[in-house]
Amino acid sequence: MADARASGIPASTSVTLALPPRGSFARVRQHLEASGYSVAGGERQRWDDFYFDSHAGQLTRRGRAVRRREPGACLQLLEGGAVIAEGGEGSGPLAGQLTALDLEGPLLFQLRVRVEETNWLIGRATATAFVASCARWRFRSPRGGREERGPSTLTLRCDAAEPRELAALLTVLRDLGGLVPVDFDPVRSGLDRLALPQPGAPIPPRLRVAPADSVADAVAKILGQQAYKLRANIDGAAANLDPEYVHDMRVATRRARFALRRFAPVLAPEAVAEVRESLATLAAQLGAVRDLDVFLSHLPEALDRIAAPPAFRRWLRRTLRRRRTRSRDDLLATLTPPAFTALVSRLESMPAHAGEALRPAREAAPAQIRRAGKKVLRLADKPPASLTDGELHALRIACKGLRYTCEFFADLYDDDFATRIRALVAVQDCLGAHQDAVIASEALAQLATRLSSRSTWRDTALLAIGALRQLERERARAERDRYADLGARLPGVVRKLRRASPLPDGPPDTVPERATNGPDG
Amino acid sequence: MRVAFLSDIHANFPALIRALDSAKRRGADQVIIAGDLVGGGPHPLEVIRLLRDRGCFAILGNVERKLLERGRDPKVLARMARKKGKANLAWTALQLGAEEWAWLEGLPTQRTMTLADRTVLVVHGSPRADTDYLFPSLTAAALRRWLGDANPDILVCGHSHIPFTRAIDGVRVVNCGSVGRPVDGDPRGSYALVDCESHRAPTARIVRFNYPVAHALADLRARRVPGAVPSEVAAGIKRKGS
Repeated sequence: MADARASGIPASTSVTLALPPRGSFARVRQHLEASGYSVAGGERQRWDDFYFDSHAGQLTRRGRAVRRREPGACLQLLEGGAVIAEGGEGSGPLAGQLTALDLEGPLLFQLRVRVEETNWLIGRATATAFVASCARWRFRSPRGGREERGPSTLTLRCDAAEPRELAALLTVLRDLGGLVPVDFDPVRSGLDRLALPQPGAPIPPRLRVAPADSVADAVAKILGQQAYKLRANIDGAAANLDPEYVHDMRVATRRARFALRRFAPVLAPEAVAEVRESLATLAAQLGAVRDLDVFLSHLPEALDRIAAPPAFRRWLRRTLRRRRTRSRDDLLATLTPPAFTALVSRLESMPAHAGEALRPAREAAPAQIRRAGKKVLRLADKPPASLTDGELHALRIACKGLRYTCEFFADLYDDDFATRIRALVAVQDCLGAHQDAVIASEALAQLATRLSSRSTWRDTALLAIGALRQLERERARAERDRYADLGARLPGVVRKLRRASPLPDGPPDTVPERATNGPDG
Repeated sequence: MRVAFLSDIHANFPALIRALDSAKRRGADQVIIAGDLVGGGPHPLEVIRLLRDRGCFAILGNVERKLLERGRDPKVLARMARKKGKANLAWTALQLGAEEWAWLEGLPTQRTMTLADRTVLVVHGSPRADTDYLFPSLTAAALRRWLGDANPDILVCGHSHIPFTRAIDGVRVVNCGSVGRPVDGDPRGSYALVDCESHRAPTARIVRFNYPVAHALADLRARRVPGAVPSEVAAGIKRKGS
């Protein structure tokens, strides 16, 4: 008997085939029976699967998924489509596996899948039988809406010891029934059908900058990426599912604003002005919510450290939450469908000028990276200890500008370039943490000024706020110390980024100088 | 009566499916296979099963003869698998099960039949040997030598993979070409349709049909069929030594 590996015949135990559109298993069955196969069974079953993943799509990125199956309320952890653990949420093997995955944030409901399956037994008189599951898929968004019909699939399962028989059956199904193997994933397929982003909202290939792209193409894709991210996170941000949705929207807004500034010379000025104004409003509202989210996330630990009195804890939490609710209400007003949809659509269809816009992106990118790098080097050209908070913030913005520029064109370069970007991100994160501490300290100072003078516990509260401010100052000092080390490496990081994005041979770079790095939103 | 003569399928299942469909659409009452069902291609098991399950009549080609002579001795197979020119035959033998071997054993080397009062001789190469080649340049004298004592009205053959039909010295000679491995520069498969009626001379024509070559090429690669040259299958050619 032929060895499966030597013959190259697939030895997998499960193969999924796509049934042709408007095709049914009855026709496939006719072909099989005319080719010497017997087909028996026809047992039907129906169930609903509810798929979950973290905001960042950590499970999907690792080829895993968590689903709850109804009826039965059974939680299952899948790897490559196969169940590797199941049980309750609180304990048992599933809980252990989930803990080991070290997920950041809660598991969020991503998709509801309704499956109607009919099982058949396909075989030959002298060969192993296959279980064939003919499934019809229907998908529904977690936030309701209409149900979308998915593809119909036929999944064959067999004993891996009979790969030759599987290969023969697959040939018959392909050449007689028109059924071809597909890499079917219900979550990916369902989210595509519903026009929802994949978990973690990875940038789709159509929006990746390609070596053959002109500057206009690249800018359209870069703005399209930000529009995609805004769309992908709007539902989660509006439903308040996880603070990371607001964060991702804020990052996309910042990047879009930066791209509009950076590439203004190749874009139509009137269109840019209109979109930038709307983005500035959105950025301010997202920033207000996000800053409070960051502050609230650090708060419990800080309150424990200063042993804050219970009354103060309650008051501070209530005050900050009330503020967040107000900021969020403002944000929700901006995120209403007609206005927000129009903004994102304008971002996606930003008209480009001729001339410079037609230049290959690969030629223009190195000059852009050098310009952004030059600004970083200028601001970092001081002993770290002598930099004021304002100067550190300006340096942070410049680092962010360099990072965004590099990331916009990262698809044009190799993995080494991506490694260099990560080194830059480490510096930027340190400066960001410093800035968060400065902002938190200022917010606490404002809070102290608003305390009612008639409050019976005003003195206690002022003492606690003072202690919290002290903690933030310590945090800022610690980050400043960390920067003293990281900042020394910054010129090297910038040089390596330049080296990893060499200037093209030919005429000197002529990218217009109109765009500047302003303060970041 | 209309009969479709197919030859040299060479384990190309998608080509066989299209040939059978084409013959059915063109009103063939019967399908007869003139040898070389397997060998070279990726689907020996599928081709034999389909022909057997559909009750097609077939004769042995030189590939099946070699398989039956050497293909069931594990030691011989092991030796063949190591030789470049014979590895494909060994691979083909390893794909077949007991049922397929039993069916092959029951096939004749040639067949004489009567269609509407006409005598038809079906062979793979020539009436003398399954390794002879009958080309379009065949002369009357050469044909007589090949036929020997046989005196058919129609001689159907394959093996050369070059399809043609000619009336030579009162005999309608039909070479079906190849269903699954054309070599005349046209990657489409070929077979012959023969019409026999009582009071008219038999007529024959060559039919060319398209088939999904990509399926065959994909399986040649996926199953790592030894000795196969996918680029030649795609182009419908055969280079010397390949």
